[in-house]
Amino acid sequence: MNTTPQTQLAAEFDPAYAGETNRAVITGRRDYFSTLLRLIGMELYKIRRRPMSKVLGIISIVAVVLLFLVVLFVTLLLVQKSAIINFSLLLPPFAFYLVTQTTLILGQVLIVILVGALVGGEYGVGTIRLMLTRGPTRSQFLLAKVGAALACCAIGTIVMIVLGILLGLFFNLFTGLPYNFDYFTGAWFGHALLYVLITIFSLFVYSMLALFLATLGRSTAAGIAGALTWLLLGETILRTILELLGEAIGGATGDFLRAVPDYLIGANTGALQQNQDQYLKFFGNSSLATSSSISDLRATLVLLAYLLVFIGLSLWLQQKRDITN
Amino acid sequence: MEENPGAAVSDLSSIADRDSNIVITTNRLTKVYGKLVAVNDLHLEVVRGDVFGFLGPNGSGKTTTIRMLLGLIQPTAGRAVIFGMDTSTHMSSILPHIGAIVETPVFYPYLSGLDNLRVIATASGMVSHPVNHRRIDEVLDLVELRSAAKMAYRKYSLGMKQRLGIAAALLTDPQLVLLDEPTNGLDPAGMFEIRQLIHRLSGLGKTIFLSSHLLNEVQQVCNRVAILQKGNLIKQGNVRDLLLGTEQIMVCMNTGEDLQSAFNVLQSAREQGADWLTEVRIETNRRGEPMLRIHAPRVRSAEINAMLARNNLYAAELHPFEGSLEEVYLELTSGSPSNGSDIGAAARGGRLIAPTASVPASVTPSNLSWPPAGNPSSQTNDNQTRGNQ
Repeated sequence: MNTTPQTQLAAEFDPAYAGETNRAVITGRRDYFSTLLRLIGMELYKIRRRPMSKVLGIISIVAVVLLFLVVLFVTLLLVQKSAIINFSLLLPPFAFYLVTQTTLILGQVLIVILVGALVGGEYGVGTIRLMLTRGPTRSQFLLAKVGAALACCAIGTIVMIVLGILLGLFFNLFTGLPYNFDYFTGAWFGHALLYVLITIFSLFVYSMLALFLATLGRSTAAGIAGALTWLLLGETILRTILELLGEAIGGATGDFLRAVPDYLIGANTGALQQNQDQYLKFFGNSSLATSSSISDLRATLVLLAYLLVFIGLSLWLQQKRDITN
Repeated sequence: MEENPGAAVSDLSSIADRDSNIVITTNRLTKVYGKLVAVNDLHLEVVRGDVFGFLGPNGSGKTTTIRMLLGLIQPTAGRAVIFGMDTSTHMSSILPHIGAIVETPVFYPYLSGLDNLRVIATASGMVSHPVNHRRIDEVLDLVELRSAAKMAYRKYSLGMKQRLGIAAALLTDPQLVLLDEPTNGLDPAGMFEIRQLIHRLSGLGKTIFLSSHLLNEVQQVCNRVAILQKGNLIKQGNVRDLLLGTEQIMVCMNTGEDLQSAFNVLQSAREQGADWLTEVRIETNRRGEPMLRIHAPRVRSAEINAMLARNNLYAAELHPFEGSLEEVYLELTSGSPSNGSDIGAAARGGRLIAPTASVPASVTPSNLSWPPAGNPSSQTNDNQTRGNQ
């Protein structure tokens, strides 16, 4: 050991000595990844104890239950009128389509609210000051939020889909329609799994938009309002404007403007899902399922680029800015 | 020991060589917001075991300095070294060994006090373990919040919030505790408890960095202080050394004539080389009675008494006063302390020492008519600045 006093002092507090320096407490590993995992656990604990999360969870469950009650009602009506239906609306693959679409549409709004509050709330209440003086680096602090958001997207999606399918299977008992599992092959299951991952990924992209805007605006309102505006209005308005401009201008510039909407978030998440439709046979063997003009690879790369921008800019802002009032 | 605040600390490694116990060193630490220089060229040195008072008026840069020490804001220039490690590169290694309250402590309002401490424990690197659970209980006991541990933080009173902040700061049993106005919102009993707590922590060998407006509080608990004004360090040193320059002796005589004679005796003594008589002046106390205020070390009380007696002047009362940090502070931050009575000095934080000489109660000051009552300071022999030597 180096014997200079300064080094002695530094060595006493070296991360390698963690767990031994303070005998009154027991600390865990202090490497970057271990700390990050602990922080993700901490974020999830905070989310679990947050009344807002409970409300959002209840909304999700009630939405799925209501959806399947409506589908049950419609199915019963069709059965009563002796309408010819090739498949039960309450059973996969159509039920799977229903519940994933519901998860995606409702989940986008809910995850934006949750992540906006999760990130913006730290600035609003001032707890960011508390957390950043406890040891985690700024990047760990932000990446823990990213990890928690991803976990919420995954948990939320899986819970809603499983709940929806179970409800569908149960409600189908009341219709008298036969249970048919012919569709269920290894390939179908693989594509269904991929479809679930696409849904999680889509939600995650929007959650990162909320994270970025909340970090940028240092407030919950900025994260939620900004992301919801973009989600519900922004893309549609921008798409319409660009298409109209493209039509009006024409030529190479017009083509360029018309092509821009294909690079918006919604177009690419939609493309990833649409490209799975033909394998999942949501509508039986009908020809409703067609592939998107955007390939899986391109859509994935575009969405990854968005993630890179959102998370990268948030990290940069978090790293550079002064934490004041 | 008293340092020159302007002395440059250019080589941090040489400081470490000189004293391995230095916990905090700042070297030309500066923070500028636009045209506002919040902290300018700050050199601080906090030694292990210090209870270090950090004083200054509002806006003097105290909180900005603490934020820089904790890595919440980046210095515009200069650097800070804590535990021998540069804060710009080793913050995550330093922070687990620091407990801090920065301004009013804030916690997650939807969590209980206990849950907030659990969250902070995790953020501090503590794992779920019976030892750590016991530690959480210990700090809750320490700040007397055990019974309210499961109450939502949003329902806490200001004092409870402050106490939870202290519990959070002490959670990891840190070596260094940074407290920014820790008694804000506390009642006198709570303030007393915090003082006791600081004494206890100091006794355990912790280094305490205490920022406070309450000078009396700082004087009672701190052994060293630094005084900031408009971002500049204007004084740093041992409290005892700083107070030496403010020690006073108050002398009352039976008549105005005697008082004037005593003034003349002391002034001539000073002119003949008794330079420990920093200042002698005639004032009136709160009762309107004339008195001599002598700026001199308390240990010279008997000598003054003897000097007067040699001239057939007998003091009716002689009170030595320990100086107050408030006087030092006011003098340094706003020119000079307000001249007041003996009682006023005590009220401002000066500690009254038992009289060393007095006259029988039958002697009244009724015949004292000079100088006129209400004139707080009629004569002075010296305007020499104190405290800066």
